[in-house]
Amino acid sequence: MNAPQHPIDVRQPDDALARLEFAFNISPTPMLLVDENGRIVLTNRQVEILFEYDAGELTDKLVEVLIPEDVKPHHPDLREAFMQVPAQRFMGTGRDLFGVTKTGRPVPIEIGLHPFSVDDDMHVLVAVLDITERKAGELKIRRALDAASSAMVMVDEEGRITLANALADQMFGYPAGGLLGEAIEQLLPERHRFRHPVYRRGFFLGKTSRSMGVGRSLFALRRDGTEFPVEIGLTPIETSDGHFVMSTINDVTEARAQEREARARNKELSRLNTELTQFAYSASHDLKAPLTSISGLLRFAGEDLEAGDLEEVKSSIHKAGDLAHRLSSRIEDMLTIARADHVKDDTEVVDLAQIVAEVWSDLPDDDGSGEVTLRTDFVLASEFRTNPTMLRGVLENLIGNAKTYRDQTREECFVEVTCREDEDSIVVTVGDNGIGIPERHHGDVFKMFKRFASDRNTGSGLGLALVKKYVDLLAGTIDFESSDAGTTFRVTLPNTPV
Amino acid sequence: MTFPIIVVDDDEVDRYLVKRAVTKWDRSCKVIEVADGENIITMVEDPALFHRETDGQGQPAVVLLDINMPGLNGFDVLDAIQQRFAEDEERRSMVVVMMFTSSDNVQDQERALSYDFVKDYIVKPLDGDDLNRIIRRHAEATTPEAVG
Repeated sequence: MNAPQHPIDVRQPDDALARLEFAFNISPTPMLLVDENGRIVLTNRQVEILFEYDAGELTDKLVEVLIPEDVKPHHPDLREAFMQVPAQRFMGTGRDLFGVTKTGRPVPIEIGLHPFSVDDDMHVLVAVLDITERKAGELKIRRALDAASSAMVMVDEEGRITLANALADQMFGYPAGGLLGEAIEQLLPERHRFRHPVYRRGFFLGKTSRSMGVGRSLFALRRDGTEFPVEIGLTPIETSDGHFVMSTINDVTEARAQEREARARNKELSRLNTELTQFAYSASHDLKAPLTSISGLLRFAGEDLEAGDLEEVKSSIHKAGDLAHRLSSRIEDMLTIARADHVKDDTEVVDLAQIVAEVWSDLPDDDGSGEVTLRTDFVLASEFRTNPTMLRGVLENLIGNAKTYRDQTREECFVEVTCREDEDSIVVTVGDNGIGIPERHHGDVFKMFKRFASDRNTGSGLGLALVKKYVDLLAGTIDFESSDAGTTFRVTLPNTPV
Repeated sequence: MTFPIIVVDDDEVDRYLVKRAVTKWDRSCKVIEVADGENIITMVEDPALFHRETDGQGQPAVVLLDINMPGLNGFDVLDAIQQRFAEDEERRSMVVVMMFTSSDNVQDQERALSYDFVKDYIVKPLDGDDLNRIIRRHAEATTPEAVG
């Protein structure tokens, strides 16, 4: 503490300036007295130290000498406005206020202004608070908050946001600092706002840290009205200013999407695994069966040959030949299925009538199915664009089955192919009045190696599995109805735009 | 000992192979080939016909029954046997059914074995010697008085 620069008599009530100077010099707070023209009348040593001036150096200078360059031009106006309506007030609360030292270094400050009359002249008593350290501390906390990987929002008991880190502003689409003062409910989807104050008050009563919305999905609202999924942790904070809650908010959009993706991928992998296991099992079983028969037939043929029964030998070899042929076409079908994933997925405009006609004429008649008639009914206004190879594969199998599994007890056996447009899709049906698929097999229809009528087992049991695979690859759907009266498969394919 | 074996299968090669395998093991074994469900049910429903066809001389008949057949399938046949022989314990004991099928479907297997006269569920293909062993085991276990 500096000694008074000249002795004063504090008992002299009219020596106001002297009393003030005495008070100044014992005050730990930097203080100055400014006259109505903005001239510095008195300073204490603390002001001089703060602004790096020598003792008495500031006296008689305009107060603007302590004002940063950017504010200095307007300051006389501000000062005069204050003088018009002098009242005690604080400057700098809630905004950044700086003074400037002799060397031009800005110093963050808060200021108290008090109108003060000295010898009937209006003066202003100015108390300056150096908040450098507080600002540095705040900055440190601010940086820590802004470095956090979560959005952090602190609210008071009224639900007003008193603090938000950079990530919070960014996450909710507000400009920097834009969240301050907003109601926390502003960040909630409309449908949850009504109940939120109740939950909030409940939390303030409970005052223990916890996660919010355990076991349910939480959504937050951006400033632009879009929603996003979040996870929120709540921590009560007690300060001398009251109770607050710090919420830590994480945008889990990506995590949720990844979870969904992982789940979908798992499901797909598990499906593929099941398919593969079934394929390996069925393939070995189905390839082994004819081979075992062939080897049995050949063994008996050998015995018959020894015994000289050539007719029996001939019959067995003939049967073995048939089986070998069947086996070979079965393997061919398996290869087709294995290759289905590698069919070029180009699309082109297809002529359905022509493909159906070609498929029909290519079907074998040697099984006596020559009497089956083909009916068609195509109603197509727009071009049908799809992958021709896969479409042909689908039709070959469906039409082939419909023809093969005819009901020979009927007077007329027919296969009916229809085509309709349904919005952006093309619906192709292949129906027949054949023997139908027994109901107990309906769940297995599209599985590999399933045959339901073994007297006409020229089939490999792979046809419908291939159909399903092609339809899946074409992003379509397939279902069927089947009874004694016949079977109808309905294939819905997207009409691929050009 | 002899007991007739009825092979109910729509696949000609399968019937042939069973017949050859069985007769190789026992030349005197009578093998009756039935190509579909309708015919076996007709036989089951007519005791005289059944007796004449099987000529079992008191031995139970072993029925090797396929499941997937056009028309009446293996389960239709099982239902028919169940119904016809429901109140005739003695006649029912004269039929030992073994499923002989390429269906490895678990539901098919459970359903078939729920009939008390279905003694086994054999998935094709099966080696002839193994088939013989299985047939003999079940037939002998069922034979009222073991012969030979």
